[in-house]
Amino acid sequence: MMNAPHPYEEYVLREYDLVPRTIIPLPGKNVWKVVTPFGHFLLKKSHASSEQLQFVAEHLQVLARKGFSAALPFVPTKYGEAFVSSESGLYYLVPWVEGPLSRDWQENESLDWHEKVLEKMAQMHYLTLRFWSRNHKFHQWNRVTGQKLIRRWEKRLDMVKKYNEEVKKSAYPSPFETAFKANASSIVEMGKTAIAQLREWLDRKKQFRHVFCHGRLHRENILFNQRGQVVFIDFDHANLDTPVRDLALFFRRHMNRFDWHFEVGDDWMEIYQTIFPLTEQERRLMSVYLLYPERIMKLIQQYQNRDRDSSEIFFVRQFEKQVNQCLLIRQFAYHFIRHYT
Amino acid sequence: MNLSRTQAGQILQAYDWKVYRGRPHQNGILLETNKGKKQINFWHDRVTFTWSYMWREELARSGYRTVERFLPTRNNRPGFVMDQWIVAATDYYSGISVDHRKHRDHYVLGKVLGRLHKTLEKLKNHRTMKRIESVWKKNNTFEIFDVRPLPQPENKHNFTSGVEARIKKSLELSSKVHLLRKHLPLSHAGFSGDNLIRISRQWYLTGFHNPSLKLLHHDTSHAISHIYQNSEWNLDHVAAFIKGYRTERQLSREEWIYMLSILIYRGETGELGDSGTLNDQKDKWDRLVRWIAGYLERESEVPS
Repeated sequence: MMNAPHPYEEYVLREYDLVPRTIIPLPGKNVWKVVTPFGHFLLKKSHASSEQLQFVAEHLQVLARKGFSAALPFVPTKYGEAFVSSESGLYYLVPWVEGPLSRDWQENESLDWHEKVLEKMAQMHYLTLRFWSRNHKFHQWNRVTGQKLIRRWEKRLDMVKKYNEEVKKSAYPSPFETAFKANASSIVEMGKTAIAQLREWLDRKKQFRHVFCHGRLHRENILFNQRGQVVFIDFDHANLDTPVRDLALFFRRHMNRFDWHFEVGDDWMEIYQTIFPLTEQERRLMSVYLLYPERIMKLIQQYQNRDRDSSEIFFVRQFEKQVNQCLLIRQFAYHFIRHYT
Repeated sequence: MNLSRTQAGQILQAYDWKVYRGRPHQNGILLETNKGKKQINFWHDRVTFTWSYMWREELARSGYRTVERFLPTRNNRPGFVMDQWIVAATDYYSGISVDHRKHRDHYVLGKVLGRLHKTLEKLKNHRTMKRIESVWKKNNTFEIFDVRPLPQPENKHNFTSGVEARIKKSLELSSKVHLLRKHLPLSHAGFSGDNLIRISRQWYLTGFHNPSLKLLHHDTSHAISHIYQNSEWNLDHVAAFIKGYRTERQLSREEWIYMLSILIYRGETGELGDSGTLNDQKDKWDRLVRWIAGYLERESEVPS
């Protein structure tokens, strides 16, 4: 498959002294596979800020120096820069990882992939625990504090409340809106409870223990290379946050498959904590994170910003699925408090 | 450029390339390497080199990536000292240069110069740049009016009787904006279509190795005269250039006057064209000066 290279990508590749044989656009916007005599690469046009990419690049380099194999550092340009900051956007290059895409995992999914990912996640958190505290330039920005988190959660909750008011006024609610109306009060209640518990937690603990968090560690951003090793990709949303953030996101995304079975959760926690033990306060924070109905809120936001062509049925089904999960998550969160704190 | 075996070895050692072939090129060496063609240049002056390095990097940092930059050595330096020179490498660019028949190309030329001036202006207050400028001004005559002698006596018959009066006028104009001159950053003495090379629809800013430096706008007036001459005295092309320039950077009234004074001076001293044909071209240069003066007047009336 031979594609005419876009002029921007071509001049970006000059900064790497790479003459591409082929440039293949990949699904999703602004990502290309670049085939060159020096090897295969993935070129990405990122929407992150240059400060964010610099932050990511430095952390990935530190991880690589420490022998962490699950994150690939950016390939530096011939001028020694971590990425190309041009008028048309920011581009970075990473070595191409040949491996099954997440959508192919359904069929030949190895049962222990969750464990492998949790091990690598714990390693990444452990290895970056002390690095950031020595790099003062990252102290002020990109560090998620408890107050920032409360603001973020409250903003989302306000959005849900506002949407609820709109839906109440609607004379002819859509199927999604009808489903939402029936569950709105319990969603708001869950959000309020989580925020109240987070406040309480902050009053006692004051601040987070910060590590380098991927921020979007789910199947779309996890690959297995040809040797079956886990590789995390797309660190564009990484920041310095509590390790609980990555962990809670991973649980929320993948425990559904196991119906939030306590034993599976306990196994996962054990795997993670063997490498990077959480403090008691962090374990309590984990339950607070799980209580907050973030995925439902995201879904509501997505529904509000949907295209005209998008399927109503899809959103309704997703919503019902999420609401059903909420009950299980709540049970799991309370089990978590009992078991770990 | 003749190099001893030791010197050639030093260059090969300095960079992380596999060199296949090399040959003299302009005042340097052109190398064919496993990373493409590279050009080695020998700089005479450390101050000019550092100045050049700084604006190139700043321009790239600001998002204009298609600028010729110094390639880092193995030690991650922009160049290295070899005997009396500073040796620096850049990519070698070959492609199409500015087509003087196209307005669009002159528009781009203006845009690039505007961008470069914006960069130089931004760097003006940088500590290193200030030091470089003060060293440069100490060692060089940066006031261009002193550099070029007035017309030689034997050529005098080529000029109209008002020449001296007009040169005086030019100096007078220039002295009116003496405050501005103090604040203008250094720039290159010249700038032309040869500094731009088009590769795959992208314009690369190249050249400026061992350049003469002068105050800002000597390059602008040089570019304008170059465009005017090469476009067969077509003022529309000059207008396209100025339009392009102004998309990146606005010119103050003082800067216009200063540029005009440089153009008048250079026109009168024969610096703009072939002095042998100066009489034939005199009217054309006058037309340019009048046009720019008119442009300046129009600009004063309508705030941009």
